[in-house]
Amino acid sequence: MAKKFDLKKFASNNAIIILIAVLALFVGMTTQNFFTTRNLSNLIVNMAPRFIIACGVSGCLITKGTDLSAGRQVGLAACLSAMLLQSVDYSARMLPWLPDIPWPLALLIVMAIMAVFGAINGVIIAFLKVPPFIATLGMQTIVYGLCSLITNNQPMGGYKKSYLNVASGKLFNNDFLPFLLFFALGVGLFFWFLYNKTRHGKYMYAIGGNESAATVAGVNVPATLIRIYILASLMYALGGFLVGAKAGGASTATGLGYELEAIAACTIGGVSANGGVGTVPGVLVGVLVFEVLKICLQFMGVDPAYTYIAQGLVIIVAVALDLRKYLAKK
Amino acid sequence: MPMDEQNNTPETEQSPIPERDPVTGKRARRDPKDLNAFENFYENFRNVPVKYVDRFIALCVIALVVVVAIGIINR
Repeated sequence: MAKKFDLKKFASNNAIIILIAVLALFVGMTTQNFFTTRNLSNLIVNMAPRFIIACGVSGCLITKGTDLSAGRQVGLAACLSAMLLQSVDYSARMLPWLPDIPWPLALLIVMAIMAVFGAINGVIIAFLKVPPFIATLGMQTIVYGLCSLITNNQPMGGYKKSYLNVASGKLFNNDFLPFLLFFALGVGLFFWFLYNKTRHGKYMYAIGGNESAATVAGVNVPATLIRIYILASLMYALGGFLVGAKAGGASTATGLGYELEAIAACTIGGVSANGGVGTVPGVLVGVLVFEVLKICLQFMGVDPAYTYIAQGLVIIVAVALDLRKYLAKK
Repeated sequence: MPMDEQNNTPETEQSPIPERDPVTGKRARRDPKDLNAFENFYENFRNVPVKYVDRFIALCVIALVVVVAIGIINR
């Protein structure tokens, strides 16, 4: 027999999404230029790097972990990308001896460097059994210190055109097809495949569901955790690379608070902080809700201080909804 | 195989799934040491009825609407 649709339960489980959709409709009807292709393109460009970062964090959350170093790793990746991709004729070049290198090579170098930080996070969590909250909090501070050291706390700019074009370019000059969309699409498909069709994904959900049972079942928990944190850092590297290209500059402040946005987006999207639950489409919805909220309030001309309060309330509601699901299961 | 060796197999080292309470039918509470930070956090609310969480969510949603409304009025 088909299950009866429970409207109350649906509304309760998706309260934030419904609320933000209503807000978007209200803003669309009361302001001009909200439902335009330009605004949609802007939304896609803003969402793409955040979705990539949230995908990285989602793996950590599904295994009952977290990654508080995400934002600072994004910042370091943006600064490294800046150092490697400043125009050769730029007078204030950070590495004047460096030859002109293509952006894909720079991206690979940045990803390789950032993978080391992910591996360190993974090893500390998997082998030393340090709670992920503490391990990644320490890494956050270390990465920030390193970033300050290598950049001398100087903001960087003067990027070469090909790098800037990664963020500002559009396929067929179409507003709906910015290059960033394809990066996000590629990452989304890769993560969907990884979570649903591979052994790694099954191990990940098994660890999140019950780590002891996963160990008994023969899952190599430390190796899986290390892979998850390395993959997360690779996503922060890609996210930082794109954030830098989008902003046209980078500094030690780049990526500040991105980790909380990513964790909040995952929670809104149904990735349980209790582990073992979470999907890639859910993460996408979470990021979308957060970005739509920000854009709506910007369109209404609301002071950014109120935007922060609203974002905080959205995060509290998301955690409360997760808690509700946990209690309802008991 | 001696008994003490038998007790050290991986299966017996794991915390067993808690048995159900014969009266309430609910699973017995797990040792807090076996839980992670988030589970511990959620376990603190174990005895809170779902309707109270619903009321809290409703309160937060109202607060969110009020904050957005005040933001729009004060722009």
